[in-house]
Amino acid sequence: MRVLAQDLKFGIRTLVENPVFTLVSVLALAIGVGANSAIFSVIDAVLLRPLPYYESHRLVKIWERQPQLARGSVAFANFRDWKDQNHVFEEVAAYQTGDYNLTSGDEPEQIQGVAVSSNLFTLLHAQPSSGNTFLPGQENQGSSSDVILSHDLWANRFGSDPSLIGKAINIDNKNYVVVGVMPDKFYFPGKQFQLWLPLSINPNSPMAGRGMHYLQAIGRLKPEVSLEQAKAEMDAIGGRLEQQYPRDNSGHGVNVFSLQEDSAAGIRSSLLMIQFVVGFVLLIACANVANLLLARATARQKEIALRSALGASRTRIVRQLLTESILLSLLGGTLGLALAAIGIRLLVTLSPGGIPRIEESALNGSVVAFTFLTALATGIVFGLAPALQISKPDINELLKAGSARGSTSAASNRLRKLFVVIEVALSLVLLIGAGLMIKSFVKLVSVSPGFNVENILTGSITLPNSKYKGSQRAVFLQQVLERLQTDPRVIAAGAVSHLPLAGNGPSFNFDIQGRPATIPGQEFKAQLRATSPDYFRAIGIPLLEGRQLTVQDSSSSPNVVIINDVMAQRYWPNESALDKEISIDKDDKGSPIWRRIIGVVRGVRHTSLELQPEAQMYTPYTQFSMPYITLVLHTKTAALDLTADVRHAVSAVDRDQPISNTRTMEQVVSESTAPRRFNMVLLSLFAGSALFLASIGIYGVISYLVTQRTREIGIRSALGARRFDILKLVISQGMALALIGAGIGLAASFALTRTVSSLLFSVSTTDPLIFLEVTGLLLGVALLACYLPARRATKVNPMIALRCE
Amino acid sequence: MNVQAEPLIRLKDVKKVFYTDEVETHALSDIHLEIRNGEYVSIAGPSGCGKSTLLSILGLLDAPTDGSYWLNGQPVSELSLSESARIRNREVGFVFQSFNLIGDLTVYENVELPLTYRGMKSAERKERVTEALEKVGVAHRKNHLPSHLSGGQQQRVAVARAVAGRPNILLADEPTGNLDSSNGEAVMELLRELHRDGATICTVTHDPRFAQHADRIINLFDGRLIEESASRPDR
Ligand SMILES: Nc1ncnc2c1ncn2[C@@H]1O[C@H](COP(=O)(O)OP(=O)(O)O)[C@@H](O)[C@H]1O
Ligand SMILES: [Mg+2]
Repeated sequence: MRVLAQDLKFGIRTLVENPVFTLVSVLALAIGVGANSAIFSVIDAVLLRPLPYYESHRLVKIWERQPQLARGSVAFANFRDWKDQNHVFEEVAAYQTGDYNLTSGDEPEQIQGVAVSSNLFTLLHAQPSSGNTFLPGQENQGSSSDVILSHDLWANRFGSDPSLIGKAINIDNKNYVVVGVMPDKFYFPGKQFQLWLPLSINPNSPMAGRGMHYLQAIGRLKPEVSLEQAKAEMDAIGGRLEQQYPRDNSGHGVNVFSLQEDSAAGIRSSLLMIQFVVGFVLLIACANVANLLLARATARQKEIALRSALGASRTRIVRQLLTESILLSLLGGTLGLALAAIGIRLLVTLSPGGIPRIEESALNGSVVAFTFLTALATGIVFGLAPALQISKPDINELLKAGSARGSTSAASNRLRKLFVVIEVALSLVLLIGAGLMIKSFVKLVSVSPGFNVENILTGSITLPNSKYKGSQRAVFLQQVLERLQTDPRVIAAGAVSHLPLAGNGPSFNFDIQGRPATIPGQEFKAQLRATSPDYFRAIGIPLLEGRQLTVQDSSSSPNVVIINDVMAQRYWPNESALDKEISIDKDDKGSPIWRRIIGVVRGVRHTSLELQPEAQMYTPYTQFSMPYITLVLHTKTAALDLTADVRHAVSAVDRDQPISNTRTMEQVVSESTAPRRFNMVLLSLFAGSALFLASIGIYGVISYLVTQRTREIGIRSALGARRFDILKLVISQGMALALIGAGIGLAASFALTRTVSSLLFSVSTTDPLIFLEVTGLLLGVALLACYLPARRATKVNPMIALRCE
Repeated sequence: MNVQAEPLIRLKDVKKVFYTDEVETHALSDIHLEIRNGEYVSIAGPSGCGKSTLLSILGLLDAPTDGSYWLNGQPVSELSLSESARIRNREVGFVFQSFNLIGDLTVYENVELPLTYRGMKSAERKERVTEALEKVGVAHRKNHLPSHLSGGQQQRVAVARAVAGRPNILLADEPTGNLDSSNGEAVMELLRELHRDGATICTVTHDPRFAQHADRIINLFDGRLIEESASRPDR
């Protein structure tokens, strides 16, 4: 114990006496460890930590596998059969998410909610904080009007009113009785969902059939049943249903995933890539620290030889050196923790929407443990090698005056150089990855979406079925748009059912007048949007052929449709599409409703900026009603200035009608690229850290070599070497290492970038320009890192040559 | 050659003061000195009297604190750093007490090193290096590393390195200091030979036997030139 205290005291003293060494090592460790902890905390929150439900490992998500689609929504009839026929689940529940207009209270508000089968809460073992949950067997009534509120909604909207239970609130213009409030931090299926209603499906409606896919399903495995058993049985059931109902189910099956895995399915690969990347950063940091320790150890060879000459055992010396590196690790770990805390906040802020539970990332016990274990492992592993190497050299040889460059130092120089080569190679791989992502991103944001994004304000309205039917929606919309059009700051005001780049919208099969009906698998298909007449003008989609919609295209006038150039090209490649007739639906008697093509507009990128425009068709709201409306205003001034005016226009027409998500088109486009931006920023950040660490590494090694070779440099200078000769001598030595590292890094990049091809956009995984530029950047930084010690070398006084060693 | 010509080296009132930690060391004071072409001068004096300092000023490794130094008639104080490097490289040859060969370079490369600093063609370098190594008698070890050579051999390589560039003056700071007496003698004999062939030489030496080889002995004491004696009036 006394010995340990002595080791510690001495260790602290050496660290304090070498502030630069200590600072650089601690910083390198902190960057490496901090980056890993930050990412680990996200992975812990998103992927590892059990979901906050009772025995959540038994929860699974059940999908209807469809052709080309592993995770397809579920048809009600199929769900019912799964439920009845399986022996593996304790419970199975279905739900459907949606937007609800809440009008109780002061301001109408659009809220995301979930219609759930009544056994959902039983399945989750979730208890309300007050009131009740739904009672099993409540579904299928088609009339239930109970609602359960989230704690947040209850607190924010209803001021935590304890007497709310049993009272009615107005949702979508209908009265619902609040039967329960869930506890704080209960979320299902995600944080944004704030109310739960019973899922009511009329068993006789088409919604209860096998052709309409709109449900999500979860199940709880029986305690003794494994995920594999469940998969097998559901596979069998799916196969049976496919045989039984070939018309709706051919090509369909069942996929079962653990709920935990499923909830992070989209982000998993991206997070694991980033974990891999920060692993690289840590390796680089380790190489750095190892190098610094090696340099220190070499510098202390004499001291150590002296100690062993004085009788210190080898273990004693190794322990002393290890104490020092462990001290360093702990310091690095502590600073790393601080960096991680900043990093986590940055990650959560930067993260695109839709990463479940990312906001729960925090410096909790497991992250702290992870941090210190990583730091300690680093310190011990990379402190041990130099400690062992240094504690064994021949005492005699070292104490002999004059033999300054023994064989041990040659060996450790080789090791040092090897570390630098590895650092450079690793950083180049990361930098090239980052370069490819940056280029992808730049390419992506410079893609024209096919519409105008400047000075455009958008806002969403959902008109509930319970209040607005058919043509009433068009009337409501017409009144809102008329109000907005009178504003002198508005150039054009329009509306569309599904705004491009703001989520998917429906695609519809259609028939063409005069062509045979399509057969399954070869349907004519296009995205369908309902629009107001001025939508194209407001968003800047040019008309290529024919005419625009007008207010004369009303519910009583002939049915018309506008299509885009992609659709025109695909279905009428050699003729004009104008005046052709298509049908997307049937009337009450089952005969097709024909709609005449009156115009062709340019296609827009709808699903994603990354995908070419697909076939699109637009019907007027007056002739094809949809409950979703996104207002689109082209303004003369800054678009956001009109936010309040839009709200007023809507509430002037219907004071209970909320408008949500008011944002500019620029924001819409930017949010659509958020996941890619997240990956890019992260990779760039870590590649930057890697470059920084590698340059510290090069700098450290070259500085050390300069110190080691001070005398030689003095001699060369005495013999007439000019400043340039000395610079060349030192820099070429460092650059040789950098070049070897770059060569290895380039080869590795060629092999590795292929694995990220799915993260790139219109950039080849071996884009020569990026490879060249990034290598140039790395070598430039390496040159600078060599130049600083080289400059110091030129200041060596040649007088040193006259002095005896 | 005209004997009345400007001396190769002329020092006037040279002074060197080192300032360290508030201590001033007057390493050299009031030095007047001339060395003519073809002379062999030996600097003697007790340890710490300023011999190495004087040699470093002569060899442009350091600048005087005060006073003037003309090399080949040119005032040295006006030289830029790179011009001094050029003169060290072309006009001065150094031999050091601790040999100062570069451990990573072979014997051949060590001798070649100063020649590479003047951008000489490799064929010419080869000729000069070979000639110099033959003159000092270690041509057969040219591909060895210095650590494989004896001290005497190493110092002979150092002499070869100093003369390969055909300098105007050879400066040697206690070249025998790290050698046993027979090796020391061999190296001094080598210098004497070079002198006979016309080289200008200035050595620092403790050993009175070797001092006697010189035309002239300069005695330094506490940074001052106390007397100049012609060692071989017979010549
Ligand atoms: N770089 C220096 N800084 C401070 N003092 C020095 C330096 N070089 C030499 N001296 C001092 O100058 C004096 C002369 O030194 P030196 O010329 O090396 O003597 P010698 O070669 O005759 O033994 C000594 O007192 C020495 O300590
Ligand atoms: Mg001396």
